[in-house]
Amino acid sequence: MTADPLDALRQPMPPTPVTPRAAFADALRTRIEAALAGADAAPDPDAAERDPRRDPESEQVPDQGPDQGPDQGPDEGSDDRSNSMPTTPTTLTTAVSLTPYLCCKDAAAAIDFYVRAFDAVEVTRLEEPGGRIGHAELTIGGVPFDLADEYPEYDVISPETLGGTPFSLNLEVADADTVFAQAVAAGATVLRELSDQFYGYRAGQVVDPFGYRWSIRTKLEDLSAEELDRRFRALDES
Amino acid sequence: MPAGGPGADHAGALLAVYDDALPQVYGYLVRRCPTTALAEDLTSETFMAAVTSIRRGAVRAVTVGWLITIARNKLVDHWRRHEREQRGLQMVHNVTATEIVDEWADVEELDLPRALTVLHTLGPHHQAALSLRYLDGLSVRNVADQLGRTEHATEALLVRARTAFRKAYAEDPGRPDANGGDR
Repeated sequence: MTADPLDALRQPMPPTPVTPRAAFADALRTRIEAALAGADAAPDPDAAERDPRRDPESEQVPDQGPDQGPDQGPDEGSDDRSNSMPTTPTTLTTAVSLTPYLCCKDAAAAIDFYVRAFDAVEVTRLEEPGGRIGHAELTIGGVPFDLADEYPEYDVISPETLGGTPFSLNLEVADADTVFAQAVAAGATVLRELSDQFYGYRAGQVVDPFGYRWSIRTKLEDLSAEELDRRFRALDES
Repeated sequence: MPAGGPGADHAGALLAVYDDALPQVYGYLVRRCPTTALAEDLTSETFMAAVTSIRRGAVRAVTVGWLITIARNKLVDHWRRHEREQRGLQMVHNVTATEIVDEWADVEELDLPRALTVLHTLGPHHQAALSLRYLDGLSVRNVADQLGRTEHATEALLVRARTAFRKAYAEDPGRPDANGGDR
Protein backbone atom coordinates (compact mmCIF):
# COMPACT_ATOMS: atom_id res chain seq x y z
CA MET A 1 0.00 0.00 0.00
CA THR A 2 1.30 3.41 -0.87
CA ALA A 3 1.86 6.10 1.72
CA ASP A 4 -1.24 7.99 2.78
CA PRO A 5 -1.00 11.60 1.53
CA LEU A 6 -2.81 12.74 4.67
CA ASP A 7 0.15 11.57 6.74
CA ALA A 8 1.79 14.80 5.58
CA LEU A 9 -0.55 16.61 7.98
CA ARG A 10 1.16 15.06 10.99
CA GLN A 11 2.24 17.66 13.54
CA PRO A 12 5.08 17.18 16.01
CA MET A 13 4.38 16.42 19.67
CA PRO A 14 5.16 18.29 21.84
CA PRO A 15 3.86 21.00 19.54
CA THR A 16 6.15 23.48 17.89
CA PRO A 17 5.72 26.62 20.01
CA VAL A 18 3.95 29.62 18.53
CA THR A 19 4.18 32.83 20.51
CA PRO A 20 0.74 34.35 21.02
CA ARG A 21 0.07 38.09 21.16
CA ALA A 22 1.81 39.61 24.18
CA ALA A 23 -1.37 41.33 25.32
CA PHE A 24 -3.21 38.02 25.24
CA ALA A 25 -0.44 36.21 27.12
CA ASP A 26 -0.36 38.90 29.81
CA ALA A 27 -4.13 39.03 30.20
CA LEU A 28 -4.36 35.25 30.51
CA ARG A 29 -1.60 35.16 33.11
CA THR A 30 -3.49 37.77 35.12
CA ARG A 31 -6.69 35.72 34.85
CA ILE A 32 -4.87 32.58 35.98
CA GLU A 33 -3.30 34.36 38.94
CA ALA A 34 -6.66 35.79 39.97
CA ALA A 35 -8.39 32.44 39.63
CA LEU A 36 -5.67 30.61 41.54
CA ALA A 37 -5.86 33.22 44.29
CA GLY A 38 -9.64 32.97 44.58
CA ALA A 39 -10.53 32.49 48.21
CA ASP A 40 -13.21 29.80 48.18
CA ALA A 41 -12.35 26.82 46.08
CA ALA A 42 -15.37 26.26 43.89
CA PRO A 43 -16.06 22.75 42.69
CA ASP A 44 -14.97 22.11 39.14
CA PRO A 45 -17.96 23.16 37.10
CA ASP A 46 -16.45 21.39 34.12
CA ALA A 47 -16.31 18.06 35.83
CA ALA A 48 -20.03 17.62 36.22
CA GLU A 49 -20.68 18.13 32.56
CA ARG A 50 -17.77 16.24 31.26
CA ASP A 51 -17.77 12.73 30.03
CA PRO A 52 -15.73 11.02 32.74
CA ARG A 53 -13.77 9.12 30.14
CA ARG A 54 -12.41 12.42 28.96
CA ASP A 55 -11.38 13.83 32.29
CA PRO A 56 -7.91 15.24 31.68
CA GLU A 57 -6.51 13.70 34.83
CA SER A 58 -7.62 10.20 34.04
CA GLU A 59 -6.56 10.34 30.47
CA GLN A 60 -3.49 9.00 28.79
CA VAL A 61 -1.75 11.34 26.43
CA PRO A 62 -1.48 9.19 23.33
CA ASP A 63 0.96 11.60 21.76
CA GLN A 64 3.19 8.94 20.32
CA GLY A 65 0.57 7.66 17.90
CA PRO A 66 1.82 4.09 18.08
CA ASP A 67 0.28 3.08 14.79
CA GLN A 68 1.88 5.91 12.92
CA GLY A 69 5.37 6.30 11.61
CA PRO A 70 8.05 8.27 13.40
CA ASP A 71 7.31 11.80 14.48
CA GLN A 72 8.38 13.89 11.58
CA GLY A 73 5.39 15.94 10.56
CA PRO A 74 6.43 18.91 8.48
CA ASP A 75 5.60 22.19 10.07
CA GLU A 76 6.41 24.87 7.55
CA GLY A 77 3.95 27.63 6.97
CA SER A 78 1.98 27.18 10.14
CA ASP A 79 3.49 30.28 11.71
CA ASP A 80 1.85 32.54 9.17
CA ARG A 81 -1.74 32.54 10.27
CA SER A 82 -2.84 34.89 7.52
CA ASN A 83 -2.50 31.94 5.17
CA SER A 84 -4.87 29.93 7.27
CA MET A 85 -7.64 32.45 7.59
CA PRO A 86 -10.90 31.18 6.20
CA THR A 87 -11.65 32.55 2.79
CA THR A 88 -15.24 31.55 2.17
CA PRO A 89 -18.08 33.88 3.19
CA THR A 90 -19.50 31.14 5.38
CA THR A 91 -16.46 30.89 7.58
CA LEU A 92 -15.77 34.64 7.57
CA THR A 93 -19.17 35.24 9.09
CA THR A 94 -18.89 32.39 11.58
CA ALA A 95 -18.90 34.03 15.00
CA VAL A 96 -16.37 32.85 17.53
CA SER A 97 -18.59 33.49 20.51
CA LEU A 98 -21.71 35.32 21.63
CA THR A 99 -21.73 36.17 25.31
CA PRO A 100 -24.77 37.24 27.32
CA TYR A 101 -24.12 40.43 29.25
CA LEU A 102 -26.56 40.67 32.13
CA CYS A 103 -27.40 43.88 33.92
CA CYS A 104 -28.50 43.23 37.48
CA LYS A 105 -29.74 45.52 40.20
CA ASP A 106 -27.21 44.69 42.93
CA ALA A 107 -24.67 42.85 40.81
CA ALA A 108 -22.75 41.63 43.85
CA ALA A 109 -25.83 39.82 45.13
CA ALA A 110 -26.43 38.49 41.62
CA ILE A 111 -22.93 37.03 41.45
CA ASP A 112 -23.50 35.41 44.81
CA PHE A 113 -26.77 33.97 43.55
CA TYR A 114 -25.29 32.57 40.33
CA VAL A 115 -22.50 30.94 42.31
CA ARG A 116 -25.03 29.22 44.57
CA ALA A 117 -27.57 28.45 41.87
CA PHE A 118 -25.33 27.33 39.02
CA ASP A 119 -21.90 26.74 40.56
CA ALA A 120 -20.78 29.78 38.61
CA VAL A 121 -17.14 30.72 38.96
CA GLU A 122 -16.24 34.38 39.23
CA VAL A 123 -13.39 35.11 36.86
CA THR A 124 -13.22 38.90 36.87
CA ARG A 125 -14.78 41.67 38.95
CA LEU A 126 -14.17 45.36 38.29
CA GLU A 127 -15.62 47.29 41.18
CA GLU A 128 -15.84 51.05 41.54
CA PRO A 129 -14.69 52.58 44.82
CA GLY A 130 -18.37 53.12 45.67
CA GLY A 131 -19.03 49.40 45.30
CA ARG A 132 -20.79 49.51 41.95
CA ILE A 133 -19.66 46.63 39.74
CA GLY A 134 -18.77 47.98 36.33
CA HIS A 135 -17.98 44.61 34.84
CA ALA A 136 -17.78 41.04 36.00
CA GLU A 137 -17.09 37.83 34.14
CA LEU A 138 -18.37 34.47 35.30
CA THR A 139 -18.39 30.98 33.91
CA ILE A 140 -20.86 28.17 34.38
CA GLY A 141 -19.30 24.85 33.54
CA GLY A 142 -16.59 26.75 31.68
CA VAL A 143 -19.11 28.69 29.59
CA PRO A 144 -18.76 32.45 30.06
CA PHE A 145 -21.25 35.21 30.70
CA ASP A 146 -20.75 38.80 31.81
CA LEU A 147 -22.59 40.93 34.28
CA ALA A 148 -22.69 44.50 35.59
CA ASP A 149 -24.66 46.74 37.90
CA GLU A 150 -27.19 49.17 36.52
CA TYR A 151 -25.72 52.20 34.79
CA PRO A 152 -28.80 54.31 34.03
CA GLU A 153 -26.53 57.08 32.72
CA TYR A 154 -25.58 54.68 29.89
CA ASP A 155 -29.07 53.20 29.53
CA VAL A 156 -27.82 50.00 31.12
CA ILE A 157 -30.92 48.91 32.99
CA SER A 158 -31.91 45.67 34.66
CA PRO A 159 -35.04 43.56 34.11
CA GLU A 160 -36.14 44.57 37.59
CA THR A 161 -36.27 48.22 36.55
CA LEU A 162 -37.73 47.39 33.14
CA GLY A 163 -40.36 45.13 34.66
CA GLY A 164 -39.50 42.06 32.62
CA THR A 165 -37.04 40.47 30.26
CA PRO A 166 -37.53 39.85 26.56
CA PHE A 167 -35.21 36.85 26.34
CA SER A 168 -34.25 33.59 28.01
CA LEU A 169 -30.91 32.11 28.80
CA ASN A 170 -30.73 28.48 27.69
CA LEU A 171 -28.45 26.65 30.09
CA GLU A 172 -27.65 23.17 28.88
CA VAL A 173 -26.14 21.00 31.59
CA ALA A 174 -25.42 17.34 32.13
CA ASP A 175 -28.06 16.97 34.84
CA ALA A 176 -30.93 19.45 34.55
CA ASP A 177 -32.79 18.02 37.55
CA THR A 178 -29.94 18.71 39.95
CA VAL A 179 -29.23 22.18 38.58
CA PHE A 180 -32.93 23.07 38.50
CA ALA A 181 -33.35 22.05 42.14
CA GLN A 182 -30.20 23.91 43.12
CA ALA A 183 -31.36 27.08 41.36
CA VAL A 184 -34.73 26.94 43.10
CA ALA A 185 -33.07 26.30 46.44
CA ALA A 186 -30.88 29.36 45.83
CA GLY A 187 -33.95 31.55 45.32
CA ALA A 188 -35.10 31.16 41.71
CA THR A 189 -38.83 30.97 41.04
CA VAL A 190 -40.23 28.10 38.99
CA LEU A 191 -41.99 29.19 35.81
CA ARG A 192 -42.30 25.73 34.26
CA GLU A 193 -41.35 22.49 35.94
CA LEU A 194 -38.90 20.20 34.20
CA SER A 195 -40.36 17.85 31.64
CA ASP A 196 -39.24 15.98 28.54
CA GLN A 197 -39.73 18.18 25.50
CA PHE A 198 -40.48 17.27 21.90
CA TYR A 199 -37.25 18.94 20.76
CA GLY A 200 -35.11 16.32 22.46
CA TYR A 201 -34.38 18.01 25.75
CA ARG A 202 -35.58 17.66 29.30
CA ALA A 203 -36.14 21.32 30.16
CA GLY A 204 -37.75 23.62 32.68
CA GLN A 205 -37.84 27.36 33.28
CA VAL A 206 -37.09 29.51 36.27
CA VAL A 207 -36.81 33.24 36.74
CA ASP A 208 -33.95 34.33 38.95
CA PRO A 209 -34.26 36.98 41.69
CA PHE A 210 -32.81 39.54 39.29
CA GLY A 211 -35.44 39.05 36.64
CA TYR A 212 -33.66 36.78 34.16
CA ARG A 213 -35.43 33.75 32.75
CA TRP A 214 -33.36 30.57 32.52
CA SER A 215 -34.29 27.48 30.60
CA ILE A 216 -32.36 24.68 32.27
CA ARG A 217 -32.01 21.66 30.04
CA THR A 218 -30.31 18.39 29.37
CA LYS A 219 -30.18 16.82 25.95
CA LEU A 220 -32.00 13.51 25.75
CA GLU A 221 -31.60 12.64 22.10
CA ASP A 222 -30.02 13.90 18.90
CA LEU A 223 -32.67 14.86 16.40
CA SER A 224 -32.22 15.43 12.71
CA ALA A 225 -33.68 18.64 11.33
CA GLU A 226 -36.36 16.56 9.58
CA GLU A 227 -37.36 14.74 12.76
CA LEU A 228 -37.48 18.00 14.70
CA ASP A 229 -39.64 19.55 12.03
CA ARG A 230 -41.92 16.48 11.93
CA ARG A 231 -42.44 16.63 15.70
CA PHE A 232 -43.01 20.36 15.62
CA ARG A 233 -45.75 19.93 13.01
CA ALA A 234 -47.24 17.06 14.97
CA LEU A 235 -47.77 19.45 17.89
CA ASP A 236 -50.24 21.40 15.77
CA GLU A 237 -52.11 18.30 14.78
CA SER A 238 -52.51 16.96 18.28
CA MET B 1 -2.46 32.27 46.10
CA PRO B 2 -3.99 29.83 48.58
CA ALA B 3 -1.57 29.61 51.48
CA GLY B 4 -0.73 25.94 51.66
CA GLY B 5 -4.06 24.63 50.37
CA PRO B 6 -4.13 21.26 48.64
CA GLY B 7 -3.46 22.80 45.24
CA ALA B 8 -0.91 25.36 46.40
CA ASP B 9 2.15 23.54 45.04
CA HIS B 10 0.54 22.91 41.70
CA ALA B 11 -0.73 26.49 41.56
CA GLY B 12 2.85 27.65 41.83
CA ALA B 13 3.88 25.05 39.29
CA LEU B 14 1.32 26.26 36.77
CA LEU B 15 2.59 29.82 36.99
CA ALA B 16 6.16 28.56 36.82
CA VAL B 17 5.60 26.66 33.57
CA TYR B 18 3.26 29.26 32.10
CA ASP B 19 5.82 31.10 29.94
CA ASP B 20 7.12 27.82 28.60
CA ALA B 21 3.80 26.03 28.24
CA LEU B 22 1.73 28.85 26.75
CA PRO B 23 3.45 28.91 23.31
CA GLN B 24 3.15 25.12 23.10
CA VAL B 25 -0.52 25.02 24.06
CA TYR B 26 -1.21 27.94 21.74
CA GLY B 27 0.95 26.36 19.04
CA TYR B 28 -1.07 23.15 19.32
CA LEU B 29 -4.39 24.96 19.07
CA VAL B 30 -3.53 27.57 16.46
CA ARG B 31 -2.78 24.88 13.85
CA ARG B 32 -6.12 23.24 14.52
CA CYS B 33 -8.30 26.36 14.55
CA PRO B 34 -9.43 28.47 11.60
CA THR B 35 -8.82 31.76 13.41
CA THR B 36 -6.34 33.02 15.96
CA ALA B 37 -9.28 34.41 17.95
CA LEU B 38 -10.63 30.90 18.42
CA ALA B 39 -7.17 29.58 19.27
CA GLU B 40 -6.86 32.27 21.94
CA ASP B 41 -10.27 31.44 23.39
CA LEU B 42 -9.48 27.74 23.58
CA THR B 43 -6.05 28.51 25.05
CA SER B 44 -7.77 30.53 27.79
CA GLU B 45 -10.29 27.74 28.37
CA THR B 46 -7.44 25.24 28.63
CA PHE B 47 -5.55 27.16 31.29
CA MET B 48 -8.69 28.08 33.23
CA ALA B 49 -9.71 24.40 33.26
CA ALA B 50 -6.21 23.59 34.53
CA VAL B 51 -6.73 26.13 37.31
CA THR B 52 -10.05 24.55 38.21
CA SER B 53 -8.50 21.08 38.37
CA ILE B 54 -5.64 22.37 40.50
CA ARG B 55 -8.02 24.08 42.90
CA ARG B 56 -10.00 20.88 43.12
CA GLY B 57 -6.78 19.21 44.26
CA ALA B 58 -7.01 16.56 41.56
CA VAL B 59 -3.76 17.11 39.71
CA ARG B 60 -0.81 14.77 39.87
CA ALA B 61 1.72 16.87 38.00
CA VAL B 62 1.55 20.09 36.02
CA THR B 63 3.13 19.24 32.68
CA VAL B 64 2.85 20.46 29.13
CA GLY B 65 1.52 17.02 28.16
CA TRP B 66 -1.31 17.37 30.65
CA LEU B 67 -2.13 20.84 29.34
CA ILE B 68 -2.13 19.57 25.75
CA THR B 69 -4.57 16.83 26.76
CA ILE B 70 -6.89 19.48 28.21
CA ALA B 71 -6.41 21.55 25.05
CA ARG B 72 -7.43 18.55 22.92
CA ASN B 73 -10.55 18.10 25.05
CA LYS B 74 -11.42 21.77 24.66
CA LEU B 75 -10.96 21.44 20.91
CA VAL B 76 -13.23 18.40 20.78
CA ASP B 77 -15.79 20.26 22.91
CA HIS B 78 -15.58 23.16 20.46
CA TRP B 79 -16.14 20.89 17.45
CA ARG B 80 -19.10 19.30 19.25
CA ARG B 81 -20.67 22.70 19.93
CA HIS B 82 -19.93 23.82 16.42
CA GLU B 83 -21.40 20.60 15.03
CA ARG B 84 -24.62 21.09 16.96
CA GLU B 85 -24.89 24.65 15.68
CA GLN B 86 -24.22 23.60 12.12
CA ARG B 87 -26.32 20.47 12.03
CA GLY B 88 -28.78 21.97 9.60
CA LEU B 89 -26.01 23.10 7.31
CA GLN B 90 -24.36 19.72 7.31
CA MET B 91 -27.49 18.03 6.07
CA VAL B 92 -26.90 19.87 2.84
CA HIS B 93 -23.17 19.35 2.65
CA ASN B 94 -22.93 15.79 3.85
CA VAL B 95 -21.29 13.54 1.35
CA THR B 96 -23.64 10.77 0.39
CA ALA B 97 -22.50 7.20 0.16
CA THR B 98 -22.47 7.09 -3.62
CA GLU B 99 -20.06 9.99 -3.83
CA ILE B 100 -17.41 8.47 -1.63
CA VAL B 101 -14.04 8.41 -3.33
CA ASP B 102 -11.00 7.55 -1.27
CA GLU B 103 -8.58 7.44 -4.15
CA TRP B 104 -5.50 9.59 -3.90
CA ALA B 105 -3.45 8.45 -6.85
CA ASP B 106 -3.87 11.77 -8.64
CA VAL B 107 -3.08 13.86 -5.57
CA GLU B 108 0.43 15.21 -5.44
CA GLU B 109 2.15 15.79 -2.12
CA LEU B 110 -0.12 17.89 0.09
CA ASP B 111 0.82 21.52 0.59
CA LEU B 112 0.60 21.83 4.36
CA PRO B 113 -0.55 25.45 4.83
CA ARG B 114 -3.12 25.00 2.06
CA ALA B 115 -4.20 21.64 3.48
CA LEU B 116 -4.77 23.19 6.91
CA THR B 117 -6.77 26.04 5.39
CA VAL B 118 -8.91 23.55 3.51
CA LEU B 119 -9.28 21.39 6.61
CA HIS B 120 -10.68 24.34 8.54
CA THR B 121 -13.42 24.86 5.96
CA LEU B 122 -14.82 21.35 6.49
CA GLY B 123 -17.72 20.50 8.77
CA PRO B 124 -16.73 20.28 12.43
CA HIS B 125 -17.12 16.49 12.63
CA HIS B 126 -14.82 16.06 9.64
CA GLN B 127 -12.32 18.55 11.08
CA ALA B 128 -12.41 16.69 14.36
CA ALA B 129 -11.83 13.27 12.82
CA LEU B 130 -9.05 14.36 10.47
CA SER B 131 -7.27 16.56 13.02
CA LEU B 132 -7.20 13.87 15.67
CA ARG B 133 -6.26 11.11 13.24
CA TYR B 134 -3.69 12.90 11.10
CA LEU B 135 -2.47 16.07 12.83
CA ASP B 136 -2.37 14.43 16.27
CA GLY B 137 -1.59 11.00 14.85
CA LEU B 138 -4.00 9.21 17.15
CA SER B 139 -5.04 5.64 16.45
CA VAL B 140 -8.58 5.09 15.18
CA ARG B 141 -9.45 3.68 18.58
CA ASN B 142 -8.20 6.83 20.33
CA VAL B 143 -10.05 9.04 17.87
CA ALA B 144 -13.20 7.01 18.60
CA ASP B 145 -12.69 7.48 22.34
CA GLN B 146 -12.23 11.22 21.92
CA LEU B 147 -15.36 11.58 19.82
CA GLY B 148 -17.46 9.19 21.88
CA ARG B 149 -18.12 6.99 18.86
CA THR B 150 -17.55 3.34 18.18
CA GLU B 151 -14.43 2.35 16.29
CA HIS B 152 -16.56 1.18 13.40
CA ALA B 153 -18.47 4.48 13.22
CA THR B 154 -15.17 6.34 13.41
CA GLU B 155 -13.74 4.36 10.49
CA ALA B 156 -16.80 5.33 8.47
CA LEU B 157 -16.56 8.94 9.58
CA LEU B 158 -12.89 9.04 8.56
CA VAL B 159 -13.71 7.74 5.10
CA ARG B 160 -16.37 10.44 4.67
CA ALA B 161 -14.05 13.07 6.10
CA ARG B 162 -11.22 12.05 3.77
CA THR B 163 -13.59 12.28 0.83
CA ALA B 164 -14.80 15.70 1.90
CA PHE B 165 -11.23 16.86 2.39
CA ARG B 166 -10.08 15.48 -0.94
CA LYS B 167 -12.97 17.23 -2.71
CA ALA B 168 -12.41 20.55 -0.91
CA TYR B 169 -8.66 20.38 -1.52
CA ALA B 170 -9.22 19.80 -5.23
CA GLU B 171 -11.70 22.68 -5.39
CA ASP B 172 -9.78 25.04 -3.10
CA PRO B 173 -9.64 28.45 -4.78
CA GLY B 174 -6.26 28.95 -3.12
CA ARG B 175 -4.61 26.24 -5.17
CA PRO B 176 -1.64 27.58 -7.12
CA ASP B 177 -3.06 27.03 -10.59
CA ALA B 178 -6.29 28.82 -9.63
CA ASN B 179 -4.87 32.19 -8.70
CA GLY B 180 -1.27 32.14 -9.82
CA GLY B 181 0.01 30.83 -6.52
CA ASP B 182 -0.04 34.19 -4.77
CA ARG B 183 -0.40 32.52 -1.44
